[in-house]
Amino acid sequence: MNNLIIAMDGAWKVLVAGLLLGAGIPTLFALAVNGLATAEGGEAAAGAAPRPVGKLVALVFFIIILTLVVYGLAWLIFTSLGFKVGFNGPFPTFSK
Amino acid sequence: MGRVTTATVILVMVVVTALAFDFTNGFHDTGNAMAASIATGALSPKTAVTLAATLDLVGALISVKVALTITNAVIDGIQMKNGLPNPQFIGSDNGKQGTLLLMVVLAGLVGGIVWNLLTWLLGLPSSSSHALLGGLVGATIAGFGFSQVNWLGHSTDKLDGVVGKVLIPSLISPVIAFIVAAVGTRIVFTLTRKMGDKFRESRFRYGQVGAASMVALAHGTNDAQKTMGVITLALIAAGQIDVSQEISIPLWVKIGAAVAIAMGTYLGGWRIMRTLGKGIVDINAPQGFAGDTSTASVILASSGLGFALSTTHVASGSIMGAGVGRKGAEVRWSVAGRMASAWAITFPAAGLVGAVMFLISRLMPELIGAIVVVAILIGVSLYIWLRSRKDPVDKHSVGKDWNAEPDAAHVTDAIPHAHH
Repeated sequence: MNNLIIAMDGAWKVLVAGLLLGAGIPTLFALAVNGLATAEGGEAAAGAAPRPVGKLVALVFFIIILTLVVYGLAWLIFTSLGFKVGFNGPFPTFSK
Repeated sequence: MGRVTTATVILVMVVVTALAFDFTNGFHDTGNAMAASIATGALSPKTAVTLAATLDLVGALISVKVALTITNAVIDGIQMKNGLPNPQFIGSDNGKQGTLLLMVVLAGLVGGIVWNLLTWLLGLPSSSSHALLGGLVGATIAGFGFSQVNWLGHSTDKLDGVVGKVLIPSLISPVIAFIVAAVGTRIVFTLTRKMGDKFRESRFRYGQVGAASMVALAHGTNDAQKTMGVITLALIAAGQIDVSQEISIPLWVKIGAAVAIAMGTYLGGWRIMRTLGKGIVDINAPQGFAGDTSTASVILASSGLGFALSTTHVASGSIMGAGVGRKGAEVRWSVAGRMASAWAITFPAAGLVGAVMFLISRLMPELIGAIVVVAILIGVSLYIWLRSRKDPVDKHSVGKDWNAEPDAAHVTDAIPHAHH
């Protein structure tokens, strides 16, 4: 059963990549929202006093998420347009 | 202008039917991207379908992935490796150019549409691509026998055949999406357990809109391509495209398919969205966000790894996963079970319709056969639409509490409900 072997081989890769992104991004987003709640204090953070540093924490996580989203969008758009997408260090590269 | 041949007339019917299929594909799948956002109140129904339709249109227009070899995955011998139709099916003898292939495609499309409409009436999310492939395979079996079907596939390094392209992905994709969404949801609730409910709910709605948009865009880059491929195949079969040069999809086909799927998306498959967003499990914004992020991630990861999965199966698996990821959530397994049965029979059921349509068309001269098949499609569509009016679901009722209405199992009952 050739198909089954190929399927299992592909499936665990999709699962790992899916978990990294699909559980990773919610983790980052939860941490960012936590930061916002800390900054807000009161009802948002179990009655704790507002701690403005939370805003900074939130900002850092939001920037990481935005970067990932921009990468994802760039990948989707450029592969759709027929480019090959690769990486040169942290920077994506596009070639026809 | 040249003489209008039978092939030309049938071609026009194939093109219109293909666009109609694309339209049903659109409203069948609006929920994949937007059901969760509507259910949690992150977006109003109207805004949600407008956003989804726009992104679908953009996705369909930017994508150059040509699905020209669409039938090769499941059928042997209709198309050659490079996507050109097998000459055997487009012989131009007796002025009957390409009609055999055109009739297979027409019957297959009708099979796909009828199944899409029926599952829509029942409010069941099911894969439009499986319906299309099923319809084509059914018509092929009716025309040329079982041996023409590529059951197990020939490739040694890619998923191929009915088993590799239809059966295995439909078993694997909901499971992967379920795991990813459940893990994501569990992490989110653990990390935000001290947060006020109202605060958490309002902030996660923003994230949810972003994730849903990503799903809509990815959907556009995938699904409209199939219709473009089918129409282009039909054009080649009817001798309307010069195959001596490199084949490219004509611009009008591209725009036509993109607009058809976007219009379908904008219409909104409210019955299906209701099942996905409200029927399987009640979700709040963090769950919707984790579910939509899972859907977007799994779809992008799978298409990046060359392991294409059905958006519908992934989105449904994600919503169930997001449901069970929160402690104390209740999944309505009966609804989930009905949905899973619909997935299992999509391919054979659409195939059966495709086969019957092809056999009917063979009973008479080709042109009459094509007209009769299209007439049957129109009749069945009208009947299903009238049936749906007996228990309408629209943008006003899509978000209502599931239990406030009669169980969806009774949606098709002809008995009017007293408390409407």
